[in-house]
Amino acid sequence: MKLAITTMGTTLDDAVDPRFGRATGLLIVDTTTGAATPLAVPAAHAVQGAGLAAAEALVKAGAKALLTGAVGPKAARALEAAGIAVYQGLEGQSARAALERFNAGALTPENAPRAMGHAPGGAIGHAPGGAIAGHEG
Amino acid sequence: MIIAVASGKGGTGKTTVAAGLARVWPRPVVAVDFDVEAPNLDLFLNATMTREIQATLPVPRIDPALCTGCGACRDACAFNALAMVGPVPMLFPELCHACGGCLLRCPTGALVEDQRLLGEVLEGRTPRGGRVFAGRLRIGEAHAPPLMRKVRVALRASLAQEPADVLIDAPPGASCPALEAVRDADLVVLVTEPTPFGLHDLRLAWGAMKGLGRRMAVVINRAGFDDQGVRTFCAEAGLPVLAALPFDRDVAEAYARGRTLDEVGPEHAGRLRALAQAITALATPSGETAHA
Ligand code: SF4
Ligand code: SF4
Repeated sequence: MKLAITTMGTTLDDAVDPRFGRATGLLIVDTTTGAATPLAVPAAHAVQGAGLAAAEALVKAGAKALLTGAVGPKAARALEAAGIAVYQGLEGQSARAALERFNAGALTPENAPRAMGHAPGGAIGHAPGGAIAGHEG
Repeated sequence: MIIAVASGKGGTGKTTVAAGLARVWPRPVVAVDFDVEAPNLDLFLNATMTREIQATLPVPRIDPALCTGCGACRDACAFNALAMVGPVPMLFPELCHACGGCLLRCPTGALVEDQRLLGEVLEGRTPRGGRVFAGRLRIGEAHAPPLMRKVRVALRASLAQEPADVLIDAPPGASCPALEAVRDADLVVLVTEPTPFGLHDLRLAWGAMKGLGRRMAVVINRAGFDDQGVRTFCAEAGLPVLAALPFDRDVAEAYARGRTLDEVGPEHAGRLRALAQAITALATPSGETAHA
């Protein structure tokens, strides 16, 4: 199967990016071959809807799972609708380490949003586990 | 003439000042409550709100039976409010700006116009016959500005029939609703408290609003503390301080009994009248003379 990892760079040796829609990079990994292909983050600088655009990109790429730091409420709804399993709280390690834990069956999917999203008052939430949640969108 | 009474934070007595000004205003005036998330100016003015109109925004609804999943609507949306993550697009109403672009683009007629309830536009009168407009945002509605624009439409219609000055009670803060409220004001009156917190929020509001190119001035409310910090900032920023309204025991007691600032005593009423004069003088475009 294919899965997506948010990264701070373009390789598996880069750290997992805590953000989803506004991640620095996205990697699509084929879990059978281990091949990792970088995918452009579609709307990292959009005023709104960055997470939704990223969710669409994952659907197009055929990803069935997402490894990241935290997703916001709207991206969570889109990923849920797309049937993509979400694994959060993986920042602070390399993409490779997160992938190995996934392959070993050590991760639990969690489709509920961890990031607060862009609240009407403009508050930016902190995700549980200490990850700074960026603008969700 | 349009005057907006604003403040960087809640609790500075902004609504009290706005209501007091409306009561002593030297010319016909319409009071507008733009704090649509927590409207209460009508209570301060003892107004009876007689008209209540539901305000809605047209948003698309998707008929899955007609949708081919072509994604044209999604590409037409400049606000990323439609996501193609399944066979048919998924709408995120909180991101939708009701521009109607997607409706025009759908080749199969799968998108139909639906209405999202924003809240209510309220109209009423004070016991003395002064007009009052307000908006009440629906609980759960994320965006105040669309409803505020609906209130403005009703206000304009009323002003066209019966011209008057406009006194706006703007929502506190420095975010989109606060900016929307002061957008077309001839003068923005920033109400602040002479405390470090008050100064901090005044600075934020001034910073956010100065880009709008509106004339601004400051009223120090609850004066009595050392207000040197606020005055120094205002001098540096070129903001005239129009009044310092003291907060004493009489004021507190009057508020507790639901009275307005001008009812506290002749001194307070006098200060408010002087403030109203200062505001009209400052807000009158040069060349015109204030006909007080
Ligand atoms: S009405 Fe405009 S903003 Fe709303 S979904 Fe359609 S294109 Fe996007
Ligand atoms: S444009 Fe119409 S047919 Fe195409 S995806 Fe959107 S709703 Fe469906």
